[in-house]
Amino acid sequence: MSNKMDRSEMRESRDSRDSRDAGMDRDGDERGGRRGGGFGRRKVCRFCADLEYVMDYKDFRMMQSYVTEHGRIVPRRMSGNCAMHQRKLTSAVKRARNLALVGFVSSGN
Amino acid sequence: MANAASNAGKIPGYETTIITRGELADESLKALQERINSVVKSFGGEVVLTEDWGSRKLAYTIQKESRGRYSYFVYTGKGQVVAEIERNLRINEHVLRFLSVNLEKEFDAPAFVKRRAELQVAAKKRDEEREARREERMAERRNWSDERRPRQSAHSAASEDSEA
Repeated sequence: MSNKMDRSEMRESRDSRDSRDAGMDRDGDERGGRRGGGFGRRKVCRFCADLEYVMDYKDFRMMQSYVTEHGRIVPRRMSGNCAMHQRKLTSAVKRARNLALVGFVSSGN
Repeated sequence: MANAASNAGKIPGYETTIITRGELADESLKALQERINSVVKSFGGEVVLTEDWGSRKLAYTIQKESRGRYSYFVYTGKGQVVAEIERNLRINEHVLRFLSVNLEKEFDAPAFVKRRAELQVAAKKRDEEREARREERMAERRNWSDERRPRQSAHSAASEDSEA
C-alpha cells in the first residue's frame, strides 16, 4: 500500500518535473525560448534593415530613441545594432550631445 | 596634397549647425546668414543649403539659456573656409554653440540636397507612423479600461451579495 503510494508520488513528482521541463522548451511559442536562459527574439540592426533609416546626428528623435532616460547610449545588446552602425551611432549621439539635442546626463525634465 | 589631386574638380563640402539665442530677432539671424554667405564666397565656394529649424528647448542650459534657435548651413569651399566661419561665429555674441562637420570627400551638391529632402520626408513619415501607433495604443487602452470597469463592479457586487 505504502509502496504503491510512494510510486504514485514518485511518478507524480517526475511528471510535474517533466511537464515543467517541457514547458520551458515549449514556452513562449511566439518569442521562442532559448536554452541559454534568455527569452526574446533575435534583434535585427534597424539601420541595416531599413535603408531609409539613415544615421543622422541632427535628427533628435532618432538620437533620443538611442539614449536611455539617464542620457546613456543604449547598448548593442538592447538596440540590436550591428557593430558598424553602433560605432557610427556612438559618434552621432556625441555630436547631438554637443548640440544640446540630447543631454549628457538626463534627457531634460 | 595627393588626396587633393585625386579629387581634382571636386570641392569638399561642410555642414555647420549653429545654436543662437532663443529670442534672437530675424534680422540678426539674417545678418549672420549674410555674413556666412560672404565668407563662403570669398573662399570660392557656395552655400548649398540654409535651414532654420526654429527655436527649440535645449537639453541643457548653455550660457544660462534654455532655448536656442538652430540654423543649419551646408557649403562648399577649400581648406580655410571652416576656420574662417568658426572665427566669425566665435566673435558673434548671439551664437551659443556651433558644430561643423566635414561631409564626404566626393561632395555633389545637387545630389546632397535631393538626398536630404528624401531623408526628411522619410523622417516625417516615421514621425507620423509613430503618432498613429501611439493613437492606436491609447485607443486600445481606453477600450481595455472600458471593458475592465464593468467586470470589476460586477465582481464587487457579487462579493457583497455573498457577504449579505
